[in-house]
Amino acid sequence: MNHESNTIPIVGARPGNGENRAGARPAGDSEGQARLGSKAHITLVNMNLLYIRLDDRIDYEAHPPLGLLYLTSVLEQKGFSVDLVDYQILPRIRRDADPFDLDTALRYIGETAGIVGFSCMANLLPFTILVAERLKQLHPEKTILLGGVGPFGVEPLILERFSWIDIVVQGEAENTLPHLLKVLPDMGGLSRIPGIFYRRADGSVHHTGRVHRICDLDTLPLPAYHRIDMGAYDAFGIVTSRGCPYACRFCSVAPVWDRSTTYRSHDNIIAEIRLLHETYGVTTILFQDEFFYSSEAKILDFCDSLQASGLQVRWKCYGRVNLVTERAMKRMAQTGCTQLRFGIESGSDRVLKKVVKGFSVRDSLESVTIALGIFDSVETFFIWGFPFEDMDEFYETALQMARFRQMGVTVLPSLFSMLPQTDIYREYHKGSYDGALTLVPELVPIYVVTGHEIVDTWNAVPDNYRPYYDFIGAHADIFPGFFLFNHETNVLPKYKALREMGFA
Amino acid sequence: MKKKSIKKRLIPTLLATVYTLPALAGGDDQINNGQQPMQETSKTTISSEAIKQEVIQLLRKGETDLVTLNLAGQPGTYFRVHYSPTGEDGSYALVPEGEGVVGDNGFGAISFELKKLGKDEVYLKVTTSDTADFLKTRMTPKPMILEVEPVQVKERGVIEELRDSLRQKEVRTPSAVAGVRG
Repeated sequence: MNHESNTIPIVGARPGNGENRAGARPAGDSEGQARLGSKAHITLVNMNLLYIRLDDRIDYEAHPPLGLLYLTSVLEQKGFSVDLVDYQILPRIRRDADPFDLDTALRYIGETAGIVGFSCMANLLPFTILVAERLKQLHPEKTILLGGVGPFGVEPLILERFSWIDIVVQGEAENTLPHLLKVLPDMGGLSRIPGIFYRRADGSVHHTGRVHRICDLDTLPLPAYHRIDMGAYDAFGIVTSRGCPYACRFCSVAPVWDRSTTYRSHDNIIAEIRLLHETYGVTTILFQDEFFYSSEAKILDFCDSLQASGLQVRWKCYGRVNLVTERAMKRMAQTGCTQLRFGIESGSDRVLKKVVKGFSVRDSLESVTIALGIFDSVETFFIWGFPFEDMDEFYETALQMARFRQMGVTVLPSLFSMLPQTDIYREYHKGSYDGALTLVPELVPIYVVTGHEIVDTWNAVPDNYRPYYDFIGAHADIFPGFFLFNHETNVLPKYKALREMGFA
Repeated sequence: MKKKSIKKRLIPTLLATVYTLPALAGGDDQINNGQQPMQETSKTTISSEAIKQEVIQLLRKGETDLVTLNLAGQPGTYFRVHYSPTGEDGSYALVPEGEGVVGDNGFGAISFELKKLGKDEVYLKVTTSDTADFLKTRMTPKPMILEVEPVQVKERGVIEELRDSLRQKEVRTPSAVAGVRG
């Protein structure tokens, strides 16, 4: 990676290069994406960006921002006007723009409503907070909301440290925002709105309690695809459930969703597939939720429903090696499933037990081998660098990665990230692990790109990004995911081995 | 203090991760003979054969000469490790206790002391078989060569040295060692 220039070489910044070639807009909706700006009740800004490192390049892939599209649909249904901004699309419009430049972000966001809600994941949380600061400096009268998975678990700290953030919304905002918009800009009524953190007049942070989960996801309208230019996106996901019942100690999904799962009916899911396929020409769909495959019976029923619908689409999804069966996988392939993805995490049974993964190395080998004979593509995700993973255990994982790669499986290793929502972080915080977290900018020189993965080694940090690292370094308790655990003994030797094996 | 030192010395160092290819015929015959030429195979054949291919990982415990050979493959796969101090045809012999079988978790392993097998270099070949009688075998196409002298193990805390080695992209024993494909 060459950081001599101030821009990141994003090779995928090309218009409409997605495999689906979607882009057909509904008839008569040629200007469907016009911004409402200050005329809207709220501006919602998607700050989730997906970048993928491929060798020494960074590829970029745009997905419709489903979270905000659901939110937009609900708000519109309740009579609110929404100004929707997807920052993800910046590289599509301005190929040479640096997406991690604050002024660029401000210019892209442009004129907004009086209430601005930012949504991000943990990797973009620092940058999003800095963008919000700049916006507040320019427009102190605006109310700034923060939501999404990124701030989950660190809401009080965010409000204590960053005065420009007014409210942090926790959980499913479809339940919260309509009530919040009725109250704002009067901050006095906030105590009646469940699911938010806000600052009281005396400066103390108050949590109004967790909002009730939406038990029946069918009650939600379909995402507001009509509000975005579908031709700007590469891949199209669907969320069929929310939450995961498994208690994997490294994962933020289960804690964020309180370890309970809610579902959509198969008819409801197929209605969305039909909309994407027939209206927008989408031919391949990724089921993005972790628990799409929750049981053999359920997946077989879904396959029957999809077949009965007559829709000719290909699809991809995530599975769990301890849940998938050969019978179900064959049926999935018959109905268009071309790719199955598994979170394998480790090739060491001891590590798998430590993270409470719920299956063994033997299970993963069996299921992956069967899946490989059924699907066009099998992807596996591994995590290395757990605080309790010794070198022998790491090498077991590396060996299984090498074996899977040899078999023709796609292997995607990631460095463990201490996300603040996870059990492992809580254990670290209590002093359960002998070691320390350190920020090593040179190891994550363009941290804003992937956040949690080492993307290159020992390159100089560009001067224009240095303030971001300083910002992260000053708030380790809010952004622990950027810090490396025992980097000299836990990260570097393992990283070196992965490089030698061609995995990094 | 002493305990800490021993722990440091026993950190395993990756020597190589290599892949075996299925032997086209009579892998055992290749141990003491030259390598057989590759034959063209269809994509379908390669795909199905890929599951039968094994992956070998060689680890050395710190500055000792204790080497562990890990082999990943389908459970129930038998393997034998042969060595030679010279690499010459006809000079290979079975490593002491150099036989194993892949367990249910897909892994098998043997360990040996390198100095007992050669003075400067040790040549290794691995043969695998689906059956204990080794009637049909697969084997590493070329020998894996290990230096007997201890690998210099970086001391903990010397971050600059690691940094330099990463910068240089130096790979002491590349993953493509012995010309095996992966």
